[in-house]
Amino acid sequence: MTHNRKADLQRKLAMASVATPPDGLADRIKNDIPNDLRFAPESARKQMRQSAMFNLRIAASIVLLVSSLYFALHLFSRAGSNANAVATFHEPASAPAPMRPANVTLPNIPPQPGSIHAQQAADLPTLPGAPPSSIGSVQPAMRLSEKKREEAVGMTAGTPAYVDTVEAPTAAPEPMIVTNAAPSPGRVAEMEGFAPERAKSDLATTAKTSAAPSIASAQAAGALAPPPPAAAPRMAEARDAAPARNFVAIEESIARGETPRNGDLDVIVRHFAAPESVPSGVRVELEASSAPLDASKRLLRVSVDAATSNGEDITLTFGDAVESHHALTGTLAPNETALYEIEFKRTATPDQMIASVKVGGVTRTIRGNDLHTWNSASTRMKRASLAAAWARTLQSRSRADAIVVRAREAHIDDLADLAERVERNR
Amino acid sequence: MIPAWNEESRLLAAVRGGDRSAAEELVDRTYSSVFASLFRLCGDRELAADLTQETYRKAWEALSGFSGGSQFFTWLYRIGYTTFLNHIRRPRLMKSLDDENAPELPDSAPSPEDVLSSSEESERLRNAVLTLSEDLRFTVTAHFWGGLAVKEIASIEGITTVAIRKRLHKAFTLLEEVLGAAVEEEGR
Repeated sequence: MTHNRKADLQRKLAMASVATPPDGLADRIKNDIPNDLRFAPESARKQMRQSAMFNLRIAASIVLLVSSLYFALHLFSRAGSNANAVATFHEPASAPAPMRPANVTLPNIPPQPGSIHAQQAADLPTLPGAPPSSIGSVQPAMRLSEKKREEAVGMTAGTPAYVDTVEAPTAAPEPMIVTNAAPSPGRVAEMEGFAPERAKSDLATTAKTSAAPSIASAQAAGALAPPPPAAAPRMAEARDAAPARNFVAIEESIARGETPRNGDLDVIVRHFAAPESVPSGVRVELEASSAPLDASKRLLRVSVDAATSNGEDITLTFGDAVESHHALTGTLAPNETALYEIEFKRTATPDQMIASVKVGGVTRTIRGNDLHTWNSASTRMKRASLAAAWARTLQSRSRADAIVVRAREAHIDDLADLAERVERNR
Repeated sequence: MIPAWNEESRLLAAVRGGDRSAAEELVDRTYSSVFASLFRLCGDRELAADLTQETYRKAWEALSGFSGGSQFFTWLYRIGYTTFLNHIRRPRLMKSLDDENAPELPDSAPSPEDVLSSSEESERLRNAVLTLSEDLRFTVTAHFWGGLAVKEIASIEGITTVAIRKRLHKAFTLLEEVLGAAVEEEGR
């Protein structure tokens, strides 16, 4: 822009017309002058006070609103946690299950004086050192019972006097025989009271009397006194229906993120180790293989499948090749799968017997050269052992990634899927 | 025309003391300038008169907030300018300067030719000023049409006089462009 153009523009702007106000404008303006022009400091202060009060009210409202929201959220979150606690407290099956003595089985062979003989499966997650909090808080007696059993398991030598489920050392440890023997009637009543499901299941079986090496082993085998004859058919029906229903309930419980109870382990293994078909008569399977996650450990599986229970005795005898054994899960009963961890003698030979099981007139025997690696084991063995391992991870709340991998390798996809779902929900 | 600073201060003090005649004297001394400024802004006598009246109404209401840091007219001009902007921003009366299809509002007031020495050029210039951005428009109108000094405008705007001069320079450049384009349009 040139100087001349700028000056011209300024001139035009400055020369804009100067209009004269219309007549009467001054009067109109003067008429609008308020009568009270006096500047009132009080009024100004009042206005300022009102303005300040208004701002204060707004600020207080905001603070109140934020506080209310915070407290509401806080209360809701507390209410949610309380509801969970109440739900756990009232979990119907959570109390009785830990009382079942069948989940922990003591060795048939007494530990050598001064030796340490831990009876936990090394390749499986250990049992939780303490029962779940909900159980412990509700049932102190149960907690005491659990403690007793743990101490019995971990005892270095001898038998603590207060542990009533520990057997007395036997003079002659061999042959080692496990049967579905019956405990005392008093024990039966006690067990019925706390484990009705298993009681119903096992009441259908006929018990064999005291060839059992210990009460604890007998309890581990789930042996109970025979029911009255009239009740047997009804009990058998209940037993047949119970596993599927229980597993669904357990599955739902797991999906909710709850820790399975001790008694659930058997049901989980029973579900996954169920036979593909039920035989018309009695079928007995006895198999030994390496553990799925630790090839140095050996497992023994005893499965008895029967369309109907006719009360036959089931007797399991451990052979010369076995140094020691302990039950992991299951019981010696029709339509059950029992798993044992076994330890061979250093001097064991392939032709020595590992175990023999006799059900009525059927006898199955396996020897050292019948031992499989886990990969070469039967599908049922793989399913049972993996299910047991997985159930232990649920109880100990440890990771099950290795089990999922193993299950996938063995094409046990239903177990792998369930384990993965549980891992995702954690 | 504008009362001297001391005299203005005396009158304002009297008004605050409730002296109505002092308020009337302030009106007499300033309303012509306020009206002239508003007329230059809106180009309409009647509207300018109404806006002037509205400006004083607001001034009486806000008089307690006037600190006396500037001249009374400077303060009044700012009120008048805001009143004008509020008026043209009202949708029912606002006429877009860019929208050629906008309906023409009937104007009963005398045409600008009656009051402007060179009405067409003045009208074109006024329209060009009104197309400026807010800060430039206020600066130009306050300086040329309100008669405020650069220092006073800087005081009102809270910026330096250098910034005001830069604004004016930028406004001149833009006005020349707008006016040149308008002349070219008419030449075609």
